[in-house]
Amino acid sequence: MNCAWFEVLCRIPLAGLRLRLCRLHINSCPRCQHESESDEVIPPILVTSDRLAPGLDLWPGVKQGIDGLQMPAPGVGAVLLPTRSARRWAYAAAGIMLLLGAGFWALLRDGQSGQQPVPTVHRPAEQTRLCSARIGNQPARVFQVQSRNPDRTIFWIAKNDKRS
Amino acid sequence: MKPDENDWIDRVLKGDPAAYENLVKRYQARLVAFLWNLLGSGDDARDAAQDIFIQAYTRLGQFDRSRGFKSWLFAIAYHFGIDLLRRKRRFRRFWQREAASADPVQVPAGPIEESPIWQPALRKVTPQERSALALKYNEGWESAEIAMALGCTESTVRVHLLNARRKLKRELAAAGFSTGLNKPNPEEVS
Repeated sequence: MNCAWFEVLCRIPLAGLRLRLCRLHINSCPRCQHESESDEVIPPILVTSDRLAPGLDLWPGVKQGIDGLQMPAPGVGAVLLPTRSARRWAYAAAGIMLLLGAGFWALLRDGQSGQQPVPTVHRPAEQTRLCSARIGNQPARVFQVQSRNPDRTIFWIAKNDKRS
Repeated sequence: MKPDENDWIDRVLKGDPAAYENLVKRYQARLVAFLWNLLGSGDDARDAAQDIFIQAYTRLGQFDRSRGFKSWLFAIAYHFGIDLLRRKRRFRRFWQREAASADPVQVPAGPIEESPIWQPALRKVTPQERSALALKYNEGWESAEIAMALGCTESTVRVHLLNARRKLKRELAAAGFSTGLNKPNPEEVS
């Protein structure tokens, strides 16, 4: 008896989903598995090599084709042909990268448009310069932080960590 | 892989293209039969087989010997055949579109209609299913080997085989043929 589930699954219109569900079913259904791997001979409608004309000889044409070609150089390992699913994954990955790139660019643009341009102030260097600082009688490290407010300069003073 | 095939490949790689003749002669009939089943036309199958042997020659340096020459050659043939069918379909569609807007044009016949040997039942079977059938019943390959040639999983091959068998059974039964595809006995399965 045919498995009715398989017949139902074969009627699903979406090809990708149909194949996925059929695969799932066939992996779990012993009856379908048996039928698919059955060695029962199918009617002789397939062309077999013994049905071909006995004089078949492709070599002259092949020879003509390879005569002008360069000798195949031994490569390192095998180059597998890209499968359909591999191609599909590659397209999907490319699409995702494109979307991420577009999203990142849009975010960046939004962020830039919201920000006010920081005016450049030309002041004498002496005004904002801090040569040295001490913490607990020890020389400390000084970091100058750029403030958005042009009238303000921020200095970050940290202990001089000898471990680093 | 057969040991003599290894020798022939070595000779070709060392610069003796004449050694390739042995490989061509060994596989030409089986390759043409496979392509005939896939493409549905004997002429197309012969032309394609010739192109595939040339393509295989140019890629022989990249051939992985652990895979076997036969399996590798049929994988190239399958992808070539599918591409050819796709191109033909596009070409036919183009001419059909042109024919709709211009004078009546002779639309090139499809690959299936060209072959007198082709049974109408096989029209219902997709190229992937036909390839799986041909490799299973003509070449006697296991699902794993077919999967490698078709570039899919073993369970997909099983789906193709089961689909093809069911379609053929249905079509042939409708046409009044005895299918020979006996129903499996569920008791045997367990």
